[in-house]
Amino acid sequence: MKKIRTFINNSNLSRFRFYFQIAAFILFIYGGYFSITISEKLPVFACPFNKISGGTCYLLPLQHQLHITLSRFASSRGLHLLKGFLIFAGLSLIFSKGWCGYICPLGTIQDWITKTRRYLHIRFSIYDKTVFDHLKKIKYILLFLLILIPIGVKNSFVGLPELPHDIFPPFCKICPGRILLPLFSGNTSQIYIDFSTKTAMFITASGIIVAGIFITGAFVKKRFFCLFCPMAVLLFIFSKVAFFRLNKDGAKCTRCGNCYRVCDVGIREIADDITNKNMVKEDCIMCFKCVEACPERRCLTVSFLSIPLFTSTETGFFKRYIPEGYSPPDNRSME
Amino acid sequence: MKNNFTMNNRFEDIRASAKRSLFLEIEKKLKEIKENFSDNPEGMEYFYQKFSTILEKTGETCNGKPVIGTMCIQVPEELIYAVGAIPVRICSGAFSMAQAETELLSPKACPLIKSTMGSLSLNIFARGINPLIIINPTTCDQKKKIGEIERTSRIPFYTLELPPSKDTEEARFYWQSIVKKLAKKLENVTGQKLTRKRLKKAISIVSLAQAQFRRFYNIRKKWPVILGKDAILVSNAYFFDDIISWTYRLSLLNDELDDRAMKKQYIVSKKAPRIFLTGSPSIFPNMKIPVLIEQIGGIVVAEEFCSSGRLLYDTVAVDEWSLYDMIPAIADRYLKPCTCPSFTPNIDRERKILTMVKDFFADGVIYQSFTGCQLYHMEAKLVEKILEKYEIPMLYIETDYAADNTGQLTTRVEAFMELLQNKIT
Amino acid sequence: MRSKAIFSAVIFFILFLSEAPALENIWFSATPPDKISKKIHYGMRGQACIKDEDGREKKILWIRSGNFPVESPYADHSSRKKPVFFILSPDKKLIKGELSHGLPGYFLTFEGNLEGFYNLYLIEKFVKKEILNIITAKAEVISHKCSKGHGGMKKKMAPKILKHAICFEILRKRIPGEDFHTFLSSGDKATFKVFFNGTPLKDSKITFKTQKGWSKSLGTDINGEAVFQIIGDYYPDWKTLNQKKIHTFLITAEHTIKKTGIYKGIAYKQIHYTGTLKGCYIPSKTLYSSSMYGFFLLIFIIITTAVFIYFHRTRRKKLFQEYTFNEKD
Repeated sequence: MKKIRTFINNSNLSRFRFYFQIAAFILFIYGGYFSITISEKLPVFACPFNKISGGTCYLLPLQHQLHITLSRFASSRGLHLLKGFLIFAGLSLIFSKGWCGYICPLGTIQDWITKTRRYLHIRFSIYDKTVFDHLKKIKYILLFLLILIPIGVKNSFVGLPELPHDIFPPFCKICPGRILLPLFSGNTSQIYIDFSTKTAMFITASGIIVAGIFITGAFVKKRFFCLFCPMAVLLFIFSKVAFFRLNKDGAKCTRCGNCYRVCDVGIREIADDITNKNMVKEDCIMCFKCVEACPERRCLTVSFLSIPLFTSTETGFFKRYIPEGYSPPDNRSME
Repeated sequence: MKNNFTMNNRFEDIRASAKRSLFLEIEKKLKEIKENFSDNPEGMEYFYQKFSTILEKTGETCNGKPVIGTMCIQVPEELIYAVGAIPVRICSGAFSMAQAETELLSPKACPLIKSTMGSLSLNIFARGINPLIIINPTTCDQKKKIGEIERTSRIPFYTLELPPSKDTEEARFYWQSIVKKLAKKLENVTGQKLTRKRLKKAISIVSLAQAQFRRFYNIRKKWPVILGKDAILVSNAYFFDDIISWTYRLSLLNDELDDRAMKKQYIVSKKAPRIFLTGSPSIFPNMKIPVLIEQIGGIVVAEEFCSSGRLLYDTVAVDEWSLYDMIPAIADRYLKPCTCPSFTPNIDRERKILTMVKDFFADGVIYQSFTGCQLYHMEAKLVEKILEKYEIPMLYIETDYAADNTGQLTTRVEAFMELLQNKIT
Repeated sequence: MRSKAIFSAVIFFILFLSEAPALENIWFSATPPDKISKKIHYGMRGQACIKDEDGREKKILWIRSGNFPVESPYADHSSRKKPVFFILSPDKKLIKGELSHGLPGYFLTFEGNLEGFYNLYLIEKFVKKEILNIITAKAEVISHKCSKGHGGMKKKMAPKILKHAICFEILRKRIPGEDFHTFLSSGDKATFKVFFNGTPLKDSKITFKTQKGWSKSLGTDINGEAVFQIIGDYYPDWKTLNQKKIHTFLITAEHTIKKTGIYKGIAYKQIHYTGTLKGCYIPSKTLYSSSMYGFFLLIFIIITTAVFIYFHRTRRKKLFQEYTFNEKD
């Protein structure tokens, strides 16, 4: 048992994550070929516009279920909305933000773009912390609009006319997943601009612009889109009570800052906060690079239902971060 | 600025006599360390040997490579290795060197500064090196000023601008740009280009030394298999020894200590009071306090000195193995976890002392500060308060390199140890 | 093609003149005669639905007689002989429906909540001039609720035929990868297959008619199939363009065999089978959307942002003396 624990703690989790992401990508993008549908309420961007998708991202059914007249919220449609939300909640509770770091196809694409940049030895962009602190609020605005606009399309608020139907579903129209994910199955039908009405023209052009910015942004900043993702807000809400946790033992922390410097989304609190236990912040994608980079024993721990799965160790750190290779000596006297 | 004094014969006389007295001091101290204690680990022979031949100019350290002198622990060594040079830390612990330079400094100045200045002006260094430049980080005010004083500017000094705080993002980016500037300067000085491969190898070499050091550190936590005087000697050897042979010898020593721990071959009884040292750094041959404690019967289990316990503790975590990330990774390692009191606020040091005291099961803390050191003296009050809260007794000693007040010191330390003994039983 | 259309129109016209009860084809229509009735609301593919007295939702289709979608009148129940009808549910069971009249027109209602296609068949038989005419009207009605999921598409979409009760049947072959949200549009090629007694029938005359009156006739090939390309005939003003405007098309097929017999006391020497199938299509997407523009916009944005970032970094190097290192070994 101890041998397994040591093996896991010394392993190169990033490499495992790379292969896991490929497997999840194939499952969710090409799953339809094998008639696999995991769920229609997934907490990741498995886009249904890709015809052979292995599941559907929750945001599309959510927008469809909100696209009803206010009176029908109290009827069977309201129950459907609740049921869908509960299924989504259940899935989120199991892995919480692990969906972002290990499974989400859009996240995988961003990681591949980052790998390409690394290979070309092009520097990533460095930003002042305050810039992104303000821009991060966009994900809350997007979630708010995502919920409000479908209701506004079917109902009229305070005497204002109903919103045009061309703007529905609002988030799907601007989501880069709708344009980029079908490309992986050879489907270019989502790259178009609809000239029929002004609204349609505006919204489809916005979608294309967002996809373009996604690609360039992901090239210069690690996990660029994750800072603006509304799904992250929903998962963050459930991460507080989820089964999958990332905990920190503040007493052991030397505040060396290794965890913060390897973090893709730049969460400073993981290095500086020595009082709180739960370290999953709103941007965290649970990639566990911080746990890999921590040289203090048992400071950061990944656990599932209180069973520790992966924890930071000294030998693990040296194995992963000494480029010429390190064979840990047999510490017979220890433990 | 050329110094006329070097042409003078008198200078040569003074230099020769200082060298002699240094040699005697080293001999005497080594003898004390070796012979007053029984059962020294065999791995220590290498280190004793290193120190007894410290003044000899041997080819092995330099290997035809240029030498760059450093001070304090904030100078990034990986960069120096990567440009094909060898870093040698010139912080000196010799009383004879301190004596030689009393004219330029006030008698109340820090003995470490006096000693270092002495060795600089007399050109007496470990291994007889001839450094190209000396990198001087702007830590405490006395360190800042020694580069400017006339005598010592024979070897060019390079000021490494350290930020006064280490917590803020501004300080972090500022320090990263300073380290980048240093890298450019090193490239200029040595004429060697800094490349990705070389820097990767340099990070490897230093990380391997850190790994062995951590192993050594962990062994001392549980079992009293090695005395503090030996541990400090091992760390001090790192200043000037070739890093690869140092790492190798340390790994052999670690293996031997592992064996001893398995066989329960302890060097003091398990009931001996475990002392934790902190404060101004003890550098060989100034081993007054550790040797004193251990002669009385205690054991120094850990030190929070920048010359031993803190020396190789922190690690470098590189995210992307290209120069644009390796250099900031190195810079971050030398700034954020550093608990030097020249930074403000220094809450990390208090936390570190507490953690180490708990991890090493120390019974008491002895806080040494040099006369004239304001930083350690001021922090002593804060540390005392924290330790009081956790009911850990602390003894504050103010001392310098002179051996004259040993009698009074012995009495005080003995009394403290008795107090600890009573507490244990 | 044109001549054939005119020919068939002329034949039917002549037949109409010669006999009082209509010999025109009957077919199902999903839209009511007038759209003013409040009881009716519209579901998928413009299918009309109505709530009956018990509050259950039923789908409703009207019967029209005529040869062209645009000019066929809604059948009057009194003039039709009592036809036989079948409704085949998606799980291949026959279910009940109601043929009634009243709220304008003569219509068939049924309740259908399962996911898939309901096949509706209406069969009229009568003898005229020693020819037994059997007219089969068919409609494939889609029933789908997105909340019920989109899995197992192939099985749900598969077309069915009712072998034992229907002799002559037309079905539309599905496009590969078709699902509930696929809508035929102008420019798409639709394949139709004719079955006679359960086997594909070749050399049967099959005609495709659009709402505005265009038609084309083909003979079925050896597999009983014929391919028609749906034409585009909707070119409104840009301001009045409705991309979801549903047009109807009508497929008719015929077959004659020599057989003698007696039906309801009248002897006949030939049997003439006619089948109709209705379908709908929407204007083609290429009318109002452009993939080229979209693609170029995407490339433009990527290049612009990349160039912007590149110049920003170059400027930072020059202005603030940022230190950079040459990555070459």
